[in-house]
Amino acid sequence: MTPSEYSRILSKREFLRCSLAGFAGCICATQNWNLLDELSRPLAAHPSLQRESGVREALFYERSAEGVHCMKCPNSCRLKEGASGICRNRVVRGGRLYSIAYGNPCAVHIDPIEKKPLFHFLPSTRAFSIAAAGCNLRCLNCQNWQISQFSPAETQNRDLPPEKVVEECAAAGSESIAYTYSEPTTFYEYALDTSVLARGKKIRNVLKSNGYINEEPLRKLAKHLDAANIDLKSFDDAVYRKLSSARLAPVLKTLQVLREEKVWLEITSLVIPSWTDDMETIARMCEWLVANGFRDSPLHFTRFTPLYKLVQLPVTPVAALEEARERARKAGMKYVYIGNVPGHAAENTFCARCGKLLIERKGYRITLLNLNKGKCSGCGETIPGVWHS
Amino acid sequence: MEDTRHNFRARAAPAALFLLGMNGIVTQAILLREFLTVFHGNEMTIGIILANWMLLTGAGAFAGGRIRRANRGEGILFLLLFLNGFLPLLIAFLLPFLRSLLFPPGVMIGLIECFYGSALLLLPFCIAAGMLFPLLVPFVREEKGDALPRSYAVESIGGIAGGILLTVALLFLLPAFTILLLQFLATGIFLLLASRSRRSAGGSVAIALLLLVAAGAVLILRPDERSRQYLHPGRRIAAWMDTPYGSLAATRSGSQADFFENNSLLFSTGDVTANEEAVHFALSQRSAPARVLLLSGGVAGLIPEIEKHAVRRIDYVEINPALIGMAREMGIYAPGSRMRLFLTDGRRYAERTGERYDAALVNAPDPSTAQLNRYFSTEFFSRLKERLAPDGVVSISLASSGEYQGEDARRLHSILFNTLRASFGRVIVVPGERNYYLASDSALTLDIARNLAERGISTQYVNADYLQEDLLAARSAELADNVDPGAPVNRDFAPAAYFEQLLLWMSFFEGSAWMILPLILLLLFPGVRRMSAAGFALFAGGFAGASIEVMLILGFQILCGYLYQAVGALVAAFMAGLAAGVAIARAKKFPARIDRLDRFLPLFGLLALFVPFLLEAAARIRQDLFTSAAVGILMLAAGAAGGMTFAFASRIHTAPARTRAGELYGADLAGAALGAFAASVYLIPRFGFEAAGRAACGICLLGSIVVFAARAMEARRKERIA
Repeated sequence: MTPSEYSRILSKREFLRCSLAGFAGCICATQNWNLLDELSRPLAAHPSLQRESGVREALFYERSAEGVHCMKCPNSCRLKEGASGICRNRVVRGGRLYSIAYGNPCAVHIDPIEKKPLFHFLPSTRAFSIAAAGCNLRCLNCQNWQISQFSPAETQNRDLPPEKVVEECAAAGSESIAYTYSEPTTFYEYALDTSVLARGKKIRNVLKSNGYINEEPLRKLAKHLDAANIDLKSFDDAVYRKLSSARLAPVLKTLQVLREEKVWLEITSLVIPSWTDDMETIARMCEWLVANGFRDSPLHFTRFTPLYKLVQLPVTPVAALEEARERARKAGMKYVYIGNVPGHAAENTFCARCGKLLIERKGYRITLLNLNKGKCSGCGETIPGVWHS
Repeated sequence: MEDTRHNFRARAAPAALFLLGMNGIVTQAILLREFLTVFHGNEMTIGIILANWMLLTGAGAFAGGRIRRANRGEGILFLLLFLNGFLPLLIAFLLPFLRSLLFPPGVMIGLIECFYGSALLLLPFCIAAGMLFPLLVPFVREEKGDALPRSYAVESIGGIAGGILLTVALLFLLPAFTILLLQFLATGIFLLLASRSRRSAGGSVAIALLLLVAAGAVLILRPDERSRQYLHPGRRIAAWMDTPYGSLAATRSGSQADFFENNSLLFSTGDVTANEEAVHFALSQRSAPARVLLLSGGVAGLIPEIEKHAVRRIDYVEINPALIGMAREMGIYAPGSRMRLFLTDGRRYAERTGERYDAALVNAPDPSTAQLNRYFSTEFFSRLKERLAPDGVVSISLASSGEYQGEDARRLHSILFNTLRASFGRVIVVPGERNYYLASDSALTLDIARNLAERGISTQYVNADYLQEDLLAARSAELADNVDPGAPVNRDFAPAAYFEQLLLWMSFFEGSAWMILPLILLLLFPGVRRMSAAGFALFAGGFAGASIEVMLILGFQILCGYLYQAVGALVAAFMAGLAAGVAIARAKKFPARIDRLDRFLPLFGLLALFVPFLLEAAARIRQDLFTSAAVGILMLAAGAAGGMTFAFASRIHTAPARTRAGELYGADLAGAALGAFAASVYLIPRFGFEAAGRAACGICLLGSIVVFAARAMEARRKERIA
């Protein structure tokens, strides 16, 4: 036989059979055959309800012939049987909506209250901080994406029902419980029940949130809140959509509701180069805040560090933060801070009337406190906030 | 028509093949860097882009072999050659432009977008390049009735020339667009010369005009600068430079300078938190650290922080001289009087220096590539330990996971912890903006702020105001509790850390890796449907050759350091091997016993099996000369085996020259694409070098079985007829 004669004599079926058998052999030689399974492991969605503990019927939803309509946040998810919401922790089963983020936090820490940041709320105290997995936004720069972008079924959780949270908080000597890190409005039922119990034990409740929640559930929760720090990510709806897959208007509404409900409010605005560092937009934001009665609310401009999917940007120049602060003060905001810049003078609180240094901060430590029952020790001006008596 | 065809065949066809090989290598090196600037640069994206490249070129070759009207004239050849020279320029410009158009600023692009985006952009170039090979082969003068292997050899020689040119000169001297423009001009001049014998002068004039316009456009419009601006919208680019190690850019905003490499932030000046954590966590561990080794990061502002400790000497190692040059020009490089600068690979320096240090600050980014993984391996740590004083401290870091470590982050954290623990008696994790892992054989403490205060070292961030001791201790303890004692130790030749880092990166993105399958199947389907036994054998050879090439390059980097020119020389050795292999297979005195594909492929497989053992041996011997010689020889051998496989396969294929060329060249590239991808992205990081060698060997054996079965069945069929 000449060498050229056997080039095309294997039938397609025979060839495929030989190839498949051999290929399988080769993969076995590597001791593991599930290559694509393994590669796709972290990409796969995990919508199913995998555990019974941590489950509680959700509030704020209605049932319809098509399934369930969740009315807790502006995402307004319409879900069929077995589906989970955008937040990944509300699941439909048996025609009912369940929260699977109840009593099963994946992060439990004690933090200085200044870390939230809350600068006008019980300075130098510590907050017992909890978070369950899930978030209703998709922020490209999320620093806690390993909690926020996963479901509680995918994280390692603690068994910590509301009463135990309160118990541990008291044992740790923390003055407040902070619902934080991921997005507390998605573990709403857990936060609500815990805050009711905490109030009963004279423990304060603090919310660190993106503010993306509907009015009715917010008002219900706010009755039990003492303080909140809300992220106002931008004052441009287009940026909100691209950066966080959310809208601006509901967040502004949240600020107004919290003010009406008399929850102590501070606002955080992360200044991200190329995204939220437009000074005209910052000025408009501050004008809106002043016009809507938030001039006394502390405003924190914080420095961005490349994280998660936004790694091709620089850290925010300090000059940009300083300019943003100047714009805010010019617009009439009284207490404007710069965050994530160690040692910056704008970490301190100055009296809005006489300019006296009232609280000198070094990191999370208070090195000087010139407040007398919540008033400036120089001119007697009342400094808005929640202070120790 | 006959005359012109004769002219082309006699002179132009081999030259065109040479040009094809040269342009292929030059374009691949330049565009890969540009792609990595736009996409995130890790082993996965490199693997995806190269796999797309080879698969598309293979598909082009397959299509080129089946064009029915191709014999009618040389027009199509001229068009494809023109595109071969011109399209790289266009792609290099379109890449950043489309990125700025389609993606928001600063966003890392995901796996699926990377796969389909690179495929779409590379499609015209790779299809044109692939089609050229089978179309040119019939024009090559046949000697001993076998033009195909000779064409393959000539194309490989073109590749060698391109590789050498790039490695020794172009990449060090010129920016990307200038190199691509020169390539286009060279292609254009070739087309002008080759078209002299054609009757129409119009074509020549058109080519000449196009060349002038393209050259003018590049010189006047400065696409280099424009494309950088697309990547840094709204920021002032103070300096940029294409270097062999990556594309550097520095932007300025007031007093802050930000340095990017391949569009990922290297550092921002004045980042107090990052600088202080990188230095003081480690140096606070010893009362008087006199000698400090700093692997990378000196430009970012670490030197002044180290000098606060009254050290006697700082040895700062940086691989990319351009980074230092750029920082110096921008006035932000402060070397300090006690500092010595070493411009070399950090691991290489650390392993070879005779100095002793009290602290080694390994300022490497996360182990997202095999190259970076070398700084996280047990072999590195054990050698580094030999360079340390008995109570010396090592510091290395991973990105922080915020308030919670997901499963992949936890595994990566455990791997690094266990790896350090294998070499050092004590390891602690200090949580910060990044998580710092400190290792030593002596005591380590979290009383960092107190130690600094006692020594009167003034810091803005690493102090008691920010690091509250009880909270720091609690967080550190939580991280220690998170360590999985069963997690593997990260080894040079079983790099578990970079596989885990890859999984962590992939978990950023929604969507399944299965989504890349449709395109792969679409590209492979026509070839598989018509694949002959010879084609499959060549697929196996391509797979094995590429796997060996990946193993040897990674192995060389691990053992000798990332030496750019040496890696270029190794690639050139592989291509030289390809050309030599063709020549050997055509030699009259070739041993008859292995002069058949089914007998030869198992030998190729044995070579693949042998490579990991040789690398292990080289690691034990630790002699650069031995390693270089062994790796070089193996590269030549692997190339030669690939060339011989091609030559043998082309002998047993009955189709006409062009069809045969298309199928075999396509099968070779498809095998190489899958081999390189599987080895670099999955087999090596997940199972180690040995598994990659076994897989390559298995594929070769399979190829041998297929060819053997084909022979046997043909023999039986003949018997039946008889």
